[in-house]
Amino acid sequence: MQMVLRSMDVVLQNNTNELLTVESFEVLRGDWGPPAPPRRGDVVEKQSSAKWLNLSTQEGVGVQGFLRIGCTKGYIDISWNMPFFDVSRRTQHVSVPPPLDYLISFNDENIDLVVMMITLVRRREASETTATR
Amino acid sequence: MPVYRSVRVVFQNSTNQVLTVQGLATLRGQWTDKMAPRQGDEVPPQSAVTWMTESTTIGSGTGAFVRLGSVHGYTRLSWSLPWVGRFDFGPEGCAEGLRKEVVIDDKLPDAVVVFCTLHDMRRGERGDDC
Repeated sequence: MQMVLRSMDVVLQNNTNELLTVESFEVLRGDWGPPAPPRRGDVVEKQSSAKWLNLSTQEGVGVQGFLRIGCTKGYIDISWNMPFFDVSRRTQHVSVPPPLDYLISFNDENIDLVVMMITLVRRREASETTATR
Repeated sequence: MPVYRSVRVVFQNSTNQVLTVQGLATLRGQWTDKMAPRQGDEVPPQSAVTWMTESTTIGSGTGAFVRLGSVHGYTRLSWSLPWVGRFDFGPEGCAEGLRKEVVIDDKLPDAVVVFCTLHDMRRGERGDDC
């Protein structure tokens, strides 16, 4: 078994009532890892989660990829890039359609094997924000 | 095959007339198994029926219409749930002397439920709903 040298776990927690559908995806560098690569038509049910792994077992090759996920409000785009050298130059981009919002956090205890956690939430109305303060 | 979009229409006939299905079609998607109207089906007075359409195709929503005949004319129900975008329930087409009341539950935006009630119009009431 080859050693994983770099990896990016992408965890998507859907805290909305939107049914999310994986519509396109690709790895630009590295490979999809277990448990399975995404498939077109995979769904992330309401209030549930999914996880995908992009890993590299090659010396000098980092991980880079993207996912495009549809819902009734539009498209959620997630992309990431973690180079092999200087992993601190890691970048990621998430965009969600206006009625939705997201939170993002990372677990980089092991700086080569990063977990990116994206939580999709409903954007708070101004009145809701005021009410909860 | 997963159902990506669905619309369930619960239709309550709160009139004292028999309504007859006199036209139906899906414009997108298909009727859900065992929940399709059929030409000639009757909706007896003070009773309810449920129809449902769905889409199992990525990128395609679901939409349909049902036309109901009665002694006073025709009532048309139509709906459209796009892949991306707002749900629309067509307000048009109500037989004379009847009015529609529509409640839309889109808390689950991919699986919308519509409760549509057809009433006899009360004296002096205008049929703005239609």
